[in-house]
Formats: sequence, C-alpha cells, structure tokens
Amino acid sequence: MKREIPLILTAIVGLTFVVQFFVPHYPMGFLADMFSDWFSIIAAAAIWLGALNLMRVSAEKIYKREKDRFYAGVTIASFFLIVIIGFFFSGGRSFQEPGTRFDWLYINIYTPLMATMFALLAFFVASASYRAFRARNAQATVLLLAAFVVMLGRTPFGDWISNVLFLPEGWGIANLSNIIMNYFNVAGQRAIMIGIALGIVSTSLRIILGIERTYLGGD
Amino acid sequence: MQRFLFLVVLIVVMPLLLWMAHERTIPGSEFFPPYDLSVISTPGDTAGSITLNWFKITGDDDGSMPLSRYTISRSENVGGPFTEIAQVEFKLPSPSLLTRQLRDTTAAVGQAYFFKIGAEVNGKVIESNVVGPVVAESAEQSGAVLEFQEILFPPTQLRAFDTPNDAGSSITLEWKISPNDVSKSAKFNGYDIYRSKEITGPFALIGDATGGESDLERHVKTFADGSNMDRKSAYYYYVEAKWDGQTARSNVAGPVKAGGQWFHTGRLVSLVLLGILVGTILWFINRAKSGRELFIRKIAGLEAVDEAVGRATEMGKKVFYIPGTQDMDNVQTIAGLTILSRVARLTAEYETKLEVPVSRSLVMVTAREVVKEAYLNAGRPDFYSDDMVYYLTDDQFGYAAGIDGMVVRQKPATIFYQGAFYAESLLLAETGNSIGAIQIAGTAMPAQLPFFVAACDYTLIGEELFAASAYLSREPKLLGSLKGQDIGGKLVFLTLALIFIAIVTFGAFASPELVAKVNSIFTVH
Amino acid sequence: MSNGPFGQKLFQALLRIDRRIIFLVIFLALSIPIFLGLRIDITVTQEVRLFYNSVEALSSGSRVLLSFDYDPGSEPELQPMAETGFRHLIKNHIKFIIMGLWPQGPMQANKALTRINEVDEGFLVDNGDTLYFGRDLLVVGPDTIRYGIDFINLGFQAGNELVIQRMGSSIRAAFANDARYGRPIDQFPIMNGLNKLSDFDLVINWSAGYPGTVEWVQFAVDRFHVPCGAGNTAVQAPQVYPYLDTGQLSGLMGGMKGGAEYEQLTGMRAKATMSMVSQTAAHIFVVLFIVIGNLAYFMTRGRKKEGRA
Repeated sequence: MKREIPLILTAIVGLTFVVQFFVPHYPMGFLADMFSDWFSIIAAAAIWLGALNLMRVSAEKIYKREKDRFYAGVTIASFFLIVIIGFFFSGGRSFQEPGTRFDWLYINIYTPLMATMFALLAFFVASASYRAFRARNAQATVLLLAAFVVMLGRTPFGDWISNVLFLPEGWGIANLSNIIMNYFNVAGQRAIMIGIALGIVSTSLRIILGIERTYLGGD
Repeated sequence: MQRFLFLVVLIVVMPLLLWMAHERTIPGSEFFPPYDLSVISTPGDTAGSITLNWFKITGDDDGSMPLSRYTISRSENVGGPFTEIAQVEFKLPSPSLLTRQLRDTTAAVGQAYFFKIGAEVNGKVIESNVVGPVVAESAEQSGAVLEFQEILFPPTQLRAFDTPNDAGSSITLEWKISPNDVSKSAKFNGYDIYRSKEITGPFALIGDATGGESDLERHVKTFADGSNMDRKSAYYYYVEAKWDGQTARSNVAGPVKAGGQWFHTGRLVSLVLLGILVGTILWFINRAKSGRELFIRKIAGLEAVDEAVGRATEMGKKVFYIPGTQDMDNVQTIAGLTILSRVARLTAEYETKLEVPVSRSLVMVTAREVVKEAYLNAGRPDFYSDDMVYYLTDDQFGYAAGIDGMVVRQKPATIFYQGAFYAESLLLAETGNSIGAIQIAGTAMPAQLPFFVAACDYTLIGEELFAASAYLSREPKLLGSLKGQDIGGKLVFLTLALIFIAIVTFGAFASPELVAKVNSIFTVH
Repeated sequence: MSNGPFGQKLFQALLRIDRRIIFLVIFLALSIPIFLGLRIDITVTQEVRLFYNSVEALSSGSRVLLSFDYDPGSEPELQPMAETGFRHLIKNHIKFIIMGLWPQGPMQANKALTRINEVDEGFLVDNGDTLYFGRDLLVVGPDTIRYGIDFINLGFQAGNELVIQRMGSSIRAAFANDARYGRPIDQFPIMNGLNKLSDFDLVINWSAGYPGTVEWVQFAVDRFHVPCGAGNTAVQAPQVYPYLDTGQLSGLMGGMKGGAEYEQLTGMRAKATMSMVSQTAAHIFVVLFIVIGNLAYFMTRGRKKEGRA
C-alpha cells in the first residue's frame, strides 16, 4: 500500500495534465490549476523544512566542533540577520523599496556576492577553454575554428581584424560568426532539443504508468 | 525489415492522419466580402448627400495595377437594377491609408438607396456586398460639409461567436475596424464594447479595446469578452469607435451564448503525433516484456559510474552528488534522482561516504527517500543517515558557492552533476576539475552542455540522462520504453522532416497554397 | 622552430600551466582597460537597431511595461541595458510600469532608477502629498518624473508564465496593489485605462533565464498580440534568436555588447561601452591561450611520435 498510493496519485495528476491540454471544458482546467496551486503550497511550506535542516546541520557542526564550524557559524548568523531585518525592520510589505534596511543589505552585501560568483565565470571559461580546446582530431579542429570565429565576431576586435585582412563586405568575421550561430548552431541545438523532448515524453510516460519508480526510493 | 515496414506505414499513414486531423475552418475566420462597403448620410451636408467608404483591395495600394478602377453602382431596390454612378481609378490618391471614399451628391433627399462596388482584378470582376438602404438626409444646421478625413466612420460587420477551444467563459467579438483607426492617429481613441441580454437594451459598457488591427489581412479587430459571463444567457453586443470627441456605433450582433468545448481542435495534430509516439513506446515495452533481447548502445558516462565510485573507495574519499538546481516538477531532476539511486547503492556496498547537497526542499525529501531505499536494498541500512542529504539554499549562486567551498575543503574523489543546471554549471565543474576529482555530468540544458563537456570526464547529453534509469537497471520494461522512444520518436521526426522538405521544395514551385496549408496545420494553438 | 630540449621543457610546462596564472592574466586584461579609460568603436547590429527603433517609434505619453526577470548575478550584463532603457524612455517622455517575474527583479529596477536619478534630497508638497526627491520624484537630465503618474512599480508576482497569462485578461488580477505603497493600483493615474496586456504600447523584458523572454514571447506576443523587445544575457541570447527572424521579438540585445550598441544608438555612453575594451581584451587573451595551448600540444605530441619512431 505504501507504494501504491503514491503511484495512483502520480497517475491521476499526470493524466489530468495531459488531458487538460486537449480538453478545454470544465473541470479539466480547474483541476490542473488546483494541482499547480497544491504544488506551489507544498513547495512553499517545504522551504521551512529546508531552512530548518540547514540550521540543524550547521548547528550540529558547531556543536561537534567539526573543521567547517566557522562556515556553519557564518551561515547561521547571515540567515538570522537577513530574516530578522527583512521581517521586522524594513517597513513591512514594502521591504524591497529603496531606502529600507533590507534594501541596504541587498545592494551592499547580496549584490556584490552574487556578482562575484557570476564574475568567476570569466576566469573559469578561460582556464576551461585553455585546457579543453585542443585540436586533437578533425572534429575538434572544426569546433576550435568555429569557436575562434564566434568569439572574435562578438567583439569589436573581430571587425578590426576583418578590416586588416581586407575581408569583403558581408564576409567579415562578424558575418561568419552570425552564419555559424544562425545555421550550424541552430541546427545542432534543435537536434539536441528534439532528443530531449522525446526523452521527456518517454520519461513522463514511464512515471505516469508507474514503470519508473526509482524516484519513490528504489525499485 | 520491421523498421522498413514501420517507416513505410509512417510515410503513408501519418500524412493522412494529419490531414484528417487538420480542422478545415476555425469558427469565426471565414472571410468578409471584399471591400467591406459602408455607407452613411453625409454629416453636416444641408443639401443632402451620401458618403461611401470601402477598404482597398490588394493591388490598389501598391501601384501594381495603375489601370484598374472601381465602379460604383446604385439602385433603389435591393435586387437592382443597379446603375453605374461613378468610377474611381486606382491611380488616384486616396485620403486614407486603408480605405477609399466617394461622395454621391446626386442622391435625392429622402430616397432610400442601395449601393455596391465592383473592381476588375486580373480580368475578373469582383463585386462587393450590397449595402443599404441608406437615406440622404439634409442636415438641419447649415454647417460646412465635412471633408472625408473629418468624418467618423463606424466599425462595421460586428460578429459575436462563442470563443472556440475554451472552457466556456468567453465570447469573441470581431469587427472590421473603423477607417479612422489608423496607426499613430492622435484623434483615434479606441473602441468601447457594450453588452446587453436584450436586443432592445439597455446596453452596458463592459470593456474597451485599443485601435489597430488584430488581423492585417482582413482589417479586423478581435476582443474576447469574459467579464461576469452567465453561461445560460444569450448576449447582444455593439462596438463604438471613439474619435476626436465623437462616437460611431456598429451594428448589433447576437444573440450568442458562451459554451465550453470538449476537445481543443487546434491541438488535434499534437494528439495524433503524441499518439504515434506513445503507441510505439507501449508496443516496445510489450515486446520487451515478452523477453526479447533489445540492443542498447553503450553510454560511456553510465559505464563509468561504477569505476568512479570505486575510485573514491580506493582513495578513501567522499562522493558528492549534485541533483541540479531545479525543483521536483522538472523531469531532469527526477532523471537525476534515478541515477542517485544507483550511486547510493554502490556507495552502500563499498562503504564509501556519500553527500548530496540540494537546493530545493522537496528534492531533499525525495533524495533522502531514494538514498535510504538504496542502502536498504544493499543490505546496509545501518550506514544510512538523514544527514547525507542536506539543503543549502534555493539561491543559484549561493548554492554554487556553498558547494565550491565544500569541494575545495573536503576534496571529494568523485562528483556527479545530474539534473537541470543554469549558469552555475561551469562554476561547479571547473572547481571540481581543479581538485582533480572524477566528474560525471548529465543535463538536458543545451546552453550548459559545452561547459560540462569542457570540464568533466564524462557528460550525458540530453536524452542520455533520461535513458540512464533504464540503462542502469536493465529492467526489460524500462529498456523497452527506451527503445520505443528511440525508434518511434526518431522515425516520426525523420518522416516529418522528409515530408516537410519535399512539400516545401516542390510546393514552392507547384502550389504556394499547399505550403501555406502545411504551415497552418503545424501552427501550435 | 626551436624544438630542442629547452623548447620541449617550455612546451611541457605550458601544458601544465597553473590555472592561477591564467586567472591573473585575465584579471589584468579585464581591469587595466577600465583604469586607462580606453574607448573602442563598435558597429551596431540589426537586432539592437530594431530594439532602438521600436522605442523611438512610440509617441510621447505611450505606456510601456518593463519586466525585470533577473537577479544580481546577471547585473553586469543587464543593468547597463536597464539604466540606458530608463534614460531612453524618460528622454522620450514615455511612461513605464515596472514588474518582475523574478523576486529580485523589481529591486534591480529600483537600483537602476536610484542610479540614474540626479537629485536625492529635498521634497515638494503637492495637493497635500509630500513628494520626496529620489523616491517619488526622479530627476534625469532636464526631466522630472513622478511616481504614480510617469512610472510605477508593481513588484514581483509568483507564478512565472501564469502571471503573464493572467495579465492578458486583467492586470489587476495579477497585481492588485503597487509594491511601494501597497495601495490599489487604481489610485495611480498612470494605470487609467490600463486593463490588460494589449493596452500597453510595448513590453520590454530584461531576462536572464526562466521565466523570461521565451515566456513573454509565447504568452504576451503570441496570445495577446503586444509587441515585445528584450535584453538577454549573452549565454541566453542564441536561444531567443529564432523569435527575431519570425518577428515575434521587435528587437533584441545580447549581453554587454548589445548594451554597448544600445548606448551608442542613444548617445548615452555608460557602463557597457566602458566595459567593451575589457571584454575585447579578455576575448583576445582567451584566443591567445587557446593558440598557445594548441601549439604546446602539437609540439610535444610531435616529439613523442618522433621518440617512438
């Protein structure tokens, strides 16, 4: 029984969503909306579960004097700082407006932290491409050349090179880059996307039919 | 042989099914009579005259047929006889962008008239609808006779019909726009929509629409009324154009009731395609159940799972498993968790430490269940603890920062990335690469695949991620579905592609209408 | 070419180069141009010109919906576009309504407005209302705009594409109150006659992922027939390119380069233009790294083969 009830629920909800795509009549749309709302409610309630878990795991690290306890302490302190300031010291519902304390934290702490993480990408892209872009065989060489053209074509430097090399109008590096992006890239992306779409249909079907049940914990 | 037969059946049957599935007429889309002639008694004219307005036909506005002309005829009876009263040449300038006007000053005051126009297009005379009766009235006050640009023409040919393919909560209105409704007009103020349950009224204002055409070919504007709709009552509507402080109202349309449909006709094609795909998958599942051996090509990334966990065991280090940054409603997350089940079983058998940091609470709950069950199945429930799966944060980069920190400090030997990833993909994979961990990634986010390929040892590309659970478990039913998806899906798409290429290539020469038709069949609604 | 023992050692060292050296070079390539204050001329692409033209085509007093669908992570790419976008709209006397499908989006809008505002002290009393500069009144160049009349912030609404769908039939069903004062939106003159999506003259969307441009095109453009222009992160832009060909998007800016082109068109050269030199330098160095890596790879590989023979 423990296994059957979730499977039946999955089948009902899954089929409802499939059917409502084809049947506009009441009550299909209503049911689909209701199930979506349920998901939102469960997910919202589950945030507490996650937050409590984070606090418990972090507190345990400090209590057991683990090596990482300093970071656990930072986690707990920042969590309470932002929650307390957001809830009680930032003017209630308009806490996101300019001038509130929450906004100050957002602009001066949260934003720089996020931007830093994102900025790391520039460095990681450089080191990853240094390591990975090697002309090991014919295919890799084609990939490499395409990457060169696209990278240069997206910067003013590409225009400059095109001028220096006297490339004819319409055949500059920027144009080549656009051709690669609009035709070769689009064709490849579409093939991958079609494969993915098929995979999603088949996986969803397995889940609705109850053939795939690993996600319920084992088979 | 079987594949060949399948292909033949597809090539023959599929176009037929699709053709049958294609709805021929969408309710409310039949064409208006050409020109859409509208006729009013000229406002402000004390002598009494009639002003005609009609929409230009193709060829009138682009100068391609300078020798053609419209002929305007008038009659005192609906049935005729019509006598020609004027001609308007295409090459004459017209005061408005979309329409042409004519003033009939020969009409006798008080007499009712009917009008129609004809135009010769490609040697064929196309006649408009007959409009009338209209009576020329002499204005009481003597004012200046208004120029054409100063007269407000009403919206015409208002039709109301039940909105197709909906749950029954709205009625769609469609009308030919007023000729005064030209884009960027400073004077035109949009339309007001009025509704009543009785044809005699009272009509109440229920909404407004901006100017502009919803359909550029037919010069119509559509409006869906879904406000306080009572499904049992029939409604009447009229539309009023607002222009420079004046209003002009259309005909009254109705009665019409809102009703729900049991099938979305615009999606019949999707249903047929889905049916073929699902049918193939089910057929192969059935075949697999009967015990036939199915060949599945080798997927290097999945073959390497055992080896990767084995290496962590040898080195006495941890295995990290990252199930993506999206929630349980994403299929990729579910696919990722099926691989987790396999990994957890291996770590249980090898007694290797496993950590699963997640970024969604629901994923945490599900992943715990998966890992627990795997340890139970491996006969090592004592090695399982809830703390193996823990939540970090929902925030994308916060999550990446947390994991990067742990990776650098704890130096796991093996890291799995299986699920949906965004910009954090390279931040995670490159950090893992820097500590020399074996990394196996899998995602169906096309934009993130290159990053994983560059920084990981193995990458499951798109559909390989979804194939993982069947591949790893070798369960016949799952393998069958995989095979069905592969053959059914690819053949469907291949056939479609061939049909399209053939139609577009040859149809472009033979019949542009056919190409347009195929386009309309595959337009998603 | 020198391929002696020294050359071999050099190439082998290059193959095993510490990634921190690469990081350092990229860091220098990115930061030095900022301090040198260099500028570089860029050519404007068709898609950015389309975006610019679709804003220019609006008559003054038109109302535009701005959807902020990104968070601080994508700020370097999208914030310059957002700031220039605001300046462009204000200069052309176009009113704007701000919303967000991402919770952090409206805060990013506030941040951009605070940045372009030139007066943030003092107040005015109008009709009994106290209006603070920097909050209710923003001064940008010769123009002063007022909250509730020239612009409004509706805030964030959860529900992703369902929010767009709801706005298609009723804006008030999706956003009952404004975000700043929590008052019913009918109390603000700017909302007069704005009932549903098709009442807007243009939708502009700054997007860094899901939900974003794809959803705006699929719901707002296809179903409710509002023109939509978009600014995207460079990674995401290739994904929405197809919508440009079909005319579903009336303009597209991709990444910092798109932002710089937009700045060039509006004549308001700012952050994105400044960053173009850095970005170009970084690109050149990445290309150089790849060349060096491949050179080292070929030289050492050739040697191994010779050795084996």
